[in-house]
Amino acid sequence: MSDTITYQYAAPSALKHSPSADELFLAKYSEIQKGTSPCFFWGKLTDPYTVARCLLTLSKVVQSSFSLSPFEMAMLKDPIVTAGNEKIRFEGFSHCAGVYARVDVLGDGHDGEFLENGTTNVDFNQPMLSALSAVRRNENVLLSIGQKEVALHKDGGKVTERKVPLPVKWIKGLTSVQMFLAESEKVHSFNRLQALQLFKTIPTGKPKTDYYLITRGGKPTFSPVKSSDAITVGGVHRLKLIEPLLSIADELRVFSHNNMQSTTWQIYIGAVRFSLSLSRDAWRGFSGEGAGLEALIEDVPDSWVEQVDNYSYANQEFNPTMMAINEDIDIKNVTNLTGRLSAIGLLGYDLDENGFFYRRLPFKLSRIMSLNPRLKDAEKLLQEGKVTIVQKTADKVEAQVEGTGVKHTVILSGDKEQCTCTWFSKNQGERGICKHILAVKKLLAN
Amino acid sequence: MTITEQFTQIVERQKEKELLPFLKTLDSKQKKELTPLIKKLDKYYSAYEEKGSLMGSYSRRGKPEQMQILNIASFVCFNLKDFERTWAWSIFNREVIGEILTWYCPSWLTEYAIKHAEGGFIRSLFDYRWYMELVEKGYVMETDRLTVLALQDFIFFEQSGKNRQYRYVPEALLERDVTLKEHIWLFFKVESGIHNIEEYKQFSDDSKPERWINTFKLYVSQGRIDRSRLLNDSLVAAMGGYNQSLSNWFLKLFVAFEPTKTELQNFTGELLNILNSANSKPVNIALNYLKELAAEPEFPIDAFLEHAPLVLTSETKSAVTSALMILEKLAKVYPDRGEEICIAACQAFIHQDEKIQVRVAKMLQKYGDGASTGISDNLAIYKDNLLLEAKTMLKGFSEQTDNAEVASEEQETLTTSSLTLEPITYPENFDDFVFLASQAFDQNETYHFDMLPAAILKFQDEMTEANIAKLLPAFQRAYKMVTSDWRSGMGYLDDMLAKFFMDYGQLLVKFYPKEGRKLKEMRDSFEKMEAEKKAKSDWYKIKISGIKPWDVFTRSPGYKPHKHILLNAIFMLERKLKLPMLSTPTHEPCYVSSLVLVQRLIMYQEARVTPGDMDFEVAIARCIKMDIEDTLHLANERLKGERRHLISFIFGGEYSPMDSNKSKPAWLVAAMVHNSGTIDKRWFGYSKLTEQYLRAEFTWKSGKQEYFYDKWDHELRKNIKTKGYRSRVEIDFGQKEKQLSGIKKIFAKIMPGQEDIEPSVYDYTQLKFEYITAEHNDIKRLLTINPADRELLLAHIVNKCLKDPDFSGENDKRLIIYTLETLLAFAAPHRDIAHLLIATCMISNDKTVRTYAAELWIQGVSINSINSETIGKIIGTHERAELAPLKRFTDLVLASMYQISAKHNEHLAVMLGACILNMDVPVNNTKKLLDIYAEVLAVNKKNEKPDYELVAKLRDWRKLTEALDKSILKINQLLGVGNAS
Repeated sequence: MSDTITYQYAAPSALKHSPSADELFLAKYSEIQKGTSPCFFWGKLTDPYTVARCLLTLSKVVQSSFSLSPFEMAMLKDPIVTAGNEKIRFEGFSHCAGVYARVDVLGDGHDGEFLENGTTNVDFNQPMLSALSAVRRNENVLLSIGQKEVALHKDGGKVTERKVPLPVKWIKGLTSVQMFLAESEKVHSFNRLQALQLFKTIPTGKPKTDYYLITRGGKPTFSPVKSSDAITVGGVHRLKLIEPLLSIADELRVFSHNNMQSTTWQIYIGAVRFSLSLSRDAWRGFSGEGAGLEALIEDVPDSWVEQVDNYSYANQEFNPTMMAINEDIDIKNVTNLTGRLSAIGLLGYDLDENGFFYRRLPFKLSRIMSLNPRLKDAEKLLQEGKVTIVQKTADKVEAQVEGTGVKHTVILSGDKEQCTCTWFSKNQGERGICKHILAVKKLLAN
Repeated sequence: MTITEQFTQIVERQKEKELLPFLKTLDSKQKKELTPLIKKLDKYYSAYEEKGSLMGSYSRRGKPEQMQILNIASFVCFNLKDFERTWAWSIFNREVIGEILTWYCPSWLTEYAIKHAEGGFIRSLFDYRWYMELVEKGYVMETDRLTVLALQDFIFFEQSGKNRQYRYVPEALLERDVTLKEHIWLFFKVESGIHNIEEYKQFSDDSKPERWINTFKLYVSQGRIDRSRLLNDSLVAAMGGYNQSLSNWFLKLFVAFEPTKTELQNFTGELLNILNSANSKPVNIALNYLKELAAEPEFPIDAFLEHAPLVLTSETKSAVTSALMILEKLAKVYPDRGEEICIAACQAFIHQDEKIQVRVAKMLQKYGDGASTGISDNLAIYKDNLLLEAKTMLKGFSEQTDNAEVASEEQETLTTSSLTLEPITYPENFDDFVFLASQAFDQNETYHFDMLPAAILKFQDEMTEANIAKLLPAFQRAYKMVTSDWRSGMGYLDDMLAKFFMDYGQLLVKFYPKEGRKLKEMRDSFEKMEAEKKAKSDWYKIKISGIKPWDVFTRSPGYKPHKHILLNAIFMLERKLKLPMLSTPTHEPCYVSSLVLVQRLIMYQEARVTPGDMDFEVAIARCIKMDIEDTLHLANERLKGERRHLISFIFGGEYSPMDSNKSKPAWLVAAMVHNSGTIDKRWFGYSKLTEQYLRAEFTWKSGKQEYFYDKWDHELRKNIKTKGYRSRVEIDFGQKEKQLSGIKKIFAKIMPGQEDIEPSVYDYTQLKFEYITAEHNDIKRLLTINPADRELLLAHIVNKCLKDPDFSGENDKRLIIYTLETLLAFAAPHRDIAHLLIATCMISNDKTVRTYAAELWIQGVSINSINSETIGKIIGTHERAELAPLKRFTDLVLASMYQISAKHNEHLAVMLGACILNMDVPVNNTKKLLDIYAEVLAVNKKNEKPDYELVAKLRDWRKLTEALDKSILKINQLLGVGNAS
C-alpha cells in the first residue's frame, strides 16, 4: 500500500553563504498548514558543526533501507521538523520503516526566535546536504525553518515540487515508534571510548542472526550469544548509521523496550541529541508491530483529540492527567488517550524527559486514520458477528472467534491473553495482539 | 477515407513519404483518436513470429520501415506516459526528430529526456552538441543534470565500424564558450558518471587513460580553466555526499594537479573537513597533505586537534599513523602545547595494535610531562586497552597502568560453578494444552516436540465435543503444514510431529465419532484437496499420511528415536493408557529430573505396562540427578526389580551386565551416560557397535586436500580440469560394528535371531544426507536426545558440516550455529570431539560461528567443562596444516576471549602456549599470536615453571625468522628464561 505525497516547497532548502554568517534555510511544506507565519524558527546555531553532522546522519537514515530493493530506495522522503518550546526536533524514518532517527536541538543549541510553533516537512536536497557537509566548527550559521521575509525569498512563484511515494507503513511507523519509546527504559550509559569500543564489535556485513549487547570483562560488546542481562538487537548492522557521530559524542545511552522489541541509541553531543531507534529486526518495520492497537480498542471522542490539537503547541510536554482533569475525562482512559493521540500522529516521546510531547505530523489525518489494518479486521469481525463470548467471570474471559474454516479460542485471564491463531502461536503476543484478541477486547470494552 | 484508414494504409503499404505530410495535418483531437490504432498496430507489427522453414527461427512481423512509421507516429501523437512505453527512441536523430521538431515539439520532451538520461541512455537521444542546439532552439529546456550527462561523453568520439572504437577529442569542448565557462563547473555540483565514463571504452588513438583529468590539466595549462577554482571545487565536491567512487575521483583530480604548499595552505579548512569522510581513501589523502602543512606557522592547530578524534579512532591503521605523525610534528613545533597534543594522541590507545600504541607512548615520553594529571587521567581511561610494551614505556605516568590487573580481577563476575536448570511449565488444564498444540509446530521451544504427545496423553480423557472444537485450529495447522510447500525454518521433525498429531485426530474420530465430526470433515476436505492436486498432475505425491510410514527421503536413521517415541505415544493412545512418557523433559532444555523419572516409572509399574524401549533409553540419557536423596528413597521403596537396579546404577550403584536384563539398551545408555569416568567394558557387549565407535573415540586429521574443478579457458573456449586445494577436517570413524568371528557368523546364519542385539539410541545417532536440506532445523532437537553423551552426534556434525571450516553453504553454517547454541545450554563437560568442533569453529570464516565458539570456551572455563590446552593443541594442529588463517584466531582472542577474568586469562595462556607448541613453522600472523601470548603472560603475572618444550620451539623459530625476535625475547623474559639463542 503506497500513497504519493507531493512536497511543494516555495524554494529549495539551501545553505546560503554571506560574509557575516551563513544561513541554513530549510524550506518547509505541510499538507495541513496551521498558523499563518511562514517561518517557525530563525536564529543562530550554537554548535553548527554538530547540528550539520547530525542532520547529515539523519539524511543517511531517511535514505537507508534494510529490506527494500534499490529501486524503492531511490525516493527520498523528507524529514519532519517540529519547532517550539525552545526545542527544534528533526525526525526521519528509513524507507523500510525499521529505523527511526531524531535530532533534538535543545535550548542551549540555538539562539533565536520561535516565530511560530509547528511541525512541517523540510526539504532535504543534495546540494543543501553537500553544503551542510562543509560546515565547520566555530562558524556562524543561522538556521531558518521557513522563510522569514516572504517577499525577499519570493522566487517568481516558482515552486519546487517533488512527488514521492509515501507508503502507509512509513507514517504508521512514525506514529507507532512513539509507543515503543514510551515503553523503553535506559539500560546503559557509555562514554565515548566505551561507545567506540562497542561499535568496533559490530560484525561486518548484514548478520542474519540476532546480536546481544552484553558486558564481557567489564566492556560492552555485541555477541550472537544471549546471556541473562543481554539486550537483543536484531539487524545490528543498522547501528552503523550513527557510527560517524561517535567520535564527537560525549555520551551514548542505550534504551531497551521492555519486551526487547526495539532499542534506542541516544548520542549526546553538547546541546544536541541524536536518537536512533531500531525495530526488532531488519525485516520488521515499526509499522507492523501493532504497538498502538490496545490503545485503540476504546474509542476516544474526536472532541478530545480536537482539544489537544487546538490548545497544545509544538514540543509542549503533554500531560494526560491534566487533560483528564481539565476535560473531565475518566482517569482510567488516560493511557488510552496517549496511545490514541500518538497513533494518530499528535504525540512524540522524549526518553530523557520520560514523557510525550505534542507535535502534529504534517500529513492529512485521512492518511493517518487509514492505518492499523489489524484494528480494521477486528472491527470487521465484530460487524459480521463472528465473536462470541463463551464465558465471562471476574478473572477470565473465554471467547470464540470465527477464523478461516475454524473457530479460534481466545482466553483473557489476568495479564495473559491467548489465541489459537497462527499469528499468536508464532509470535506469542510479542508483535502486538492478533485481530481475534483485539475483537474480543473491543467487544468487551464497548 | 478516415484518418485511421489513411494511417493503416500508410503502415501497411509502407508509404513513408506520405507519413509526415499526413501527421502535419492532424490536430490534437485527431492525434488522440489515432493513438489506440498506433498502439494496436505497434503491438501487431512488433510481435515475433516463426519465419521460414527453420524451426526456432523467429523475427519481427513488421518490416523496419513499418516500425519506423509507427515510431514517428508515436512521437507525434502519444503523450509522455504512452511514449515511454515504446522503444521509439531509435528515431532520435537529426534526420528524423530534427525534421519533426521544426513543426511539432511535444511539451513533454524535456521530461522524457531527463527520465531517459537518468536511466543511463542519454546517448541514444542526443550528444552534447545536438542537446545544446535543441536548447538554443527552445525545444529542450536546459537543466544542470541533462547538461552534465550530455557533456560527460563529449570528449569521446565514437567511430563507426565494427569495433565501435573511440577517439579522444578534448577540443570538442572549445566549440562553445559556455562549455568551459559554465558547464564544466556543473560536474562539481551535480552527480554525474565522469569518474567511470571511459570504462569499457576502447580507443583507437594513443591517448592516455584518465582522459577527463587530462582534459582538465590541458585546459588549466592553457589558462582556459581557473586552476584555483578547480582545486577548490574538487575538494568541496569530494565531500559533497556523492557516491564513494565519484567522491574519490574528485580527490584524484585534486591530487593530479600536484597543488603547491601555498595552494594547500588556502585549502586547510577543506582538507580538515575531509577528515569527516567515512571513506578511508580521501581521509588518507587529506592527512598526507596536512602532514606537509603541519610544521607551517599558519597551520590551524586548534582545528586539527578538534578533528583528531575522527581519525585517531578510525579503523584504518594508516590514517591513525598519519594523524599521529601530524601530532608529533605539532608537538615539536609547539612545545608549550605538549600536554594538549599528548592528551589528543591518547585517543589512539583505543587500538590494540602494538605499533600504534608504542608510537603514542614514545610521543608521551618525549613531549608529555610525567607529573601531568591531565595525561595520566586520560591514560587511566585506556588502562584496560594498553598492551604490555606501551604499558612498560608509560610506567613513568603515575599509577594508571598498575591497576590493570586489579580491574581484570573485578571483572570476574562470570565464574559460576554450574548452569542453573530452569523447570519447564507443563500444561495444567485443557486450555493450556490447546495453546500448546497450536504452537507445537512453530518450534518456539525445542521441548514442544516432547510436550505435545505428553499433553495429549494427559488430557486424552477430556475430549468432549467442545474441547475437540478448541483443538481444531491446531489440527488445521498440522494439515496445512503437511499439505503445503515446505517453508523455510521447518524441519523434518515438524512434519513428523504434524503427522503424529493428524494420526491422533484419526483416533479421536474413531473413539468419538459424534464429537469428532468436524475433525473428520476437516480431514475429508484436505484429502479432497490432495486428490485434486493428484488429478492435475501424476507427479504429485499425496502428502497426507500417518506417523507409522513416516520417513525422511534420505532414510536417515537419525530421526528414528523421535519417531519411536511418537509411535510409543500413539500405541498408548490407541489403548487409552493414561501414562506419561518417560522422556518428556522437566527442565530446560531437555533434562528429565531423576525424581520425576522414578515417579513415572512407578506409574508404569503400577499400571503393569512396560515402558517403550526408546522412550526409556532417552529418559535415561536425559536424566539429571536432582533431589538425590528423595529419588533414591522413592526408588528403593517403590520400584521393583530391574528398574530399581537401573536407577541405582545411574546413581553409582555397582552392577554388572546380566543376561536376564530385559532393557539392555537402557542399561547400555545408563552405563555410557552416567559413568564416573570409567566404564566396565562388559557393558559394550550390549551393543553391536564397537567400543571405539560407541565412545566416539575417533582420530582426525586436518589439512589441504587436492581436488579438481572445471575452469573456463577463454582462449581454448572450453572447460579445463584444474587442480585446486581445499581445507578439510576429516574424522576417521573406523569400524562401526563389531566383527563376528567365523564360527559366530556361521552360527548366526544357521540360527538367525539367536545373537540379535537390540539397537540402542547409539545405533541411530547419525546425520545422513548428501546435501543438507532441512536438517539444520532439526539439529537442536536431535542433540537433545542424548544431551550428556553427544560426542557421536557431534562427530557426525563435524564430518558433515564442518569438513570445510569455510563452510560449503549457508545451511551448513546454520547447523553449526544451532549446534553451538545448543551446546551452551548443556551442563556436562565437553569431550574430545566437542573440543575439535569448538576449536575448528574458532578459525572458521564466519564471525558469528567464531564468537559462539569463544562463548563456549568462556562458559567452559567458568564451569570447568572445557580443556583449554586441548583447544590450543587442536588450533595449533590446524595451523600446522594451514587449514585456515591464524588471524581469525588472534582477532577472536583479542575481541572476545582476552581479559574476561583472571581465571580466563590463565586458561588463555595455557591455550596459546599449547597452540604455539603444536604449530610447526611460523605462519602469517604468528607474531601477533606471540604478542598476545606475551600480553596474557604479563597480565597473569604468574611465575609458573616454564614449559621447556615451548621455550625450545620458540628458540627454533627465532632461528627461522628475525621478525619474531622481539616478541620471543619478550616471552622468554616473562617466562623467566634466558635469551641465549
